[in-house]
Amino acid sequence: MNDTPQPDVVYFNLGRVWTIALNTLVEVTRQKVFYFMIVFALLMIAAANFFSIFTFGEEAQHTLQLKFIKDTGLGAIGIFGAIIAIVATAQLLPAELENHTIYTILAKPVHRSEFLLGKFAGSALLLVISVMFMGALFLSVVFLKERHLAATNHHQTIELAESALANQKDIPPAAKEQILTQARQKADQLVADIHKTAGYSGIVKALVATLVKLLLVAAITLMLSTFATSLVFTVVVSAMLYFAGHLEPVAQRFYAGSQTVAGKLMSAIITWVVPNLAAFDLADDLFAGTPLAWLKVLKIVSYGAFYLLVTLTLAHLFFRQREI
Amino acid sequence: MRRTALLIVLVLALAAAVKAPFEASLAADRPALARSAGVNIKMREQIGQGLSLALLGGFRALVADLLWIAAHGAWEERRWFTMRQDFEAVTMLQPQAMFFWDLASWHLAWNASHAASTDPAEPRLAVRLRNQRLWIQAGRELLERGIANNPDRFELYEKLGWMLKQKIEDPCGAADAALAAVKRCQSWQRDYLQRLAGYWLEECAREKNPARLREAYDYWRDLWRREYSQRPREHWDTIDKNLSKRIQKLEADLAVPESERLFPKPQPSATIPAKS
Repeated sequence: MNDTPQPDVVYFNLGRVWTIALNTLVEVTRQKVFYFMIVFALLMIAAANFFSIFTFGEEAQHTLQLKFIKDTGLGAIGIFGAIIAIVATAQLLPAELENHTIYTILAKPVHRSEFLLGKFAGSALLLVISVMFMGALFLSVVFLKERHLAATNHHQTIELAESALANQKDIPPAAKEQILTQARQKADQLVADIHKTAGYSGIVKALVATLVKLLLVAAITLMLSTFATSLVFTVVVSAMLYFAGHLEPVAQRFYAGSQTVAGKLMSAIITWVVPNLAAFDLADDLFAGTPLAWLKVLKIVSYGAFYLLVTLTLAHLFFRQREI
Repeated sequence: MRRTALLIVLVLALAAAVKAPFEASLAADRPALARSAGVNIKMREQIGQGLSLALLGGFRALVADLLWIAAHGAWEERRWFTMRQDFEAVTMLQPQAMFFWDLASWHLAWNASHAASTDPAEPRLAVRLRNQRLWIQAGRELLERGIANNPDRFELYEKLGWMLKQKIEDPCGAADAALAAVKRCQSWQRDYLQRLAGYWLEECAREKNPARLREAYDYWRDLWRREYSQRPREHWDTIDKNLSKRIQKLEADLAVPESERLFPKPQPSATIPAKS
């Protein structure tokens, strides 16, 4: 009879992942850079209203003004979100190693995969909260601008008809009433058009896609930090991959037409390995007149989920080999 | 270690295998995405290094807006060539934004061409007129490129019609553009576009190409039957009255047989009124 005690098998536990995630969230929200980024982003979104004064052209005035606001808002969320995703995530593992806290955690019955997933989940929570904050302010700015444009255009259209009628004394009252009714209808149509141009559903879709892109950027950064020995390396390479991801469609074309071995090799790496981050930018579709259906947005989200799975699997494979 | 390396290679291979069909499916959903691949050397030269970087960072729309603002500045300072260059870049960046094509071509064909025709620095009338034509042509080319990029949209066809009518004095080309717009328009503007196409077609036939007079009549007749014939005469508005007059005039000019006319002349009464 064998009396030697069998080691307890520790199964993967989501509860532990959640605990690590919450701790990570607290940890990253303590970083001052996060607040700087959030404040800058909020200021830029709020200031988007002022950029709209640069529009010109009478007919498309409201379309352009709303476009400027939407582009600036989505741009601010994209750029500051990416900075938060890279900077906050890149520090997670190095900080644990530097403070030696990772030894205490991994000495307990915690899998490395739980630790890694918890770190990612904490970073993801931060991004979700940030995008929600920025998105709420962004939608408010668009809403206020839409209200303002609708009220101004409605008022101007009717006032124009009334002042034109005031100069025409010999028009019978019935004809006057008809002209005013037509002006009111035109004003209502203009208001409906402005509301349609605001396109809240399209904005929400763009925010969802941006969030998925930021999660992917965070996952890539985390994966790099599992084997990187320096924080600078992780941040720089993550930023480069961010640009490469947006360049991916260009690389695909280059790959198809490249004649040199080096060119073919570089573009092949980007084409076959780097995710196409441009696929998550829905700003162009917002103005194409044919906003994407939710089903197509879901397809983009699944593309992001697929790459998240790939990246986190790679991160796990790298991290389990790492000597700590 | 070797096992992990093998697993990493396997994961990457799996990702690469799934990536291509997934992305092809995404591109099929979004033609705009496929067009966005055109960040080429020409574009980089046009917009400069800083904006190229922003472009590569995925801020395409924002870069287009910044260039639009730059074009605004160039327009205010009457730097027409800079304005044109900025417009070219903006429309290249967001080819699906109708108002960029529309406003940019309008600025070239109307504002820049007018400035060229009244340029105080150029004393020779012939040169001023040539420059004016060149700017109008630049506006037309831009608009036609916009149409080529958005062949299913009606807006730019309508704008091309106005440009041909007002700046190139080609009512026949304008009529064809308006007819193309009607074919593509499903919104509330369709009523207006249908009439616009008719007016220009008739003008084309009367002033430039009499061979199209029958086509103009057939067009008005079909439009009247389809859209206006249901309304009783006592409820006719200005548009109804105008259209009916045009059709009657065309019927007279083409000598359409009475039996085929939409508005036959009233026949004299068969009974002779009794003498009082």
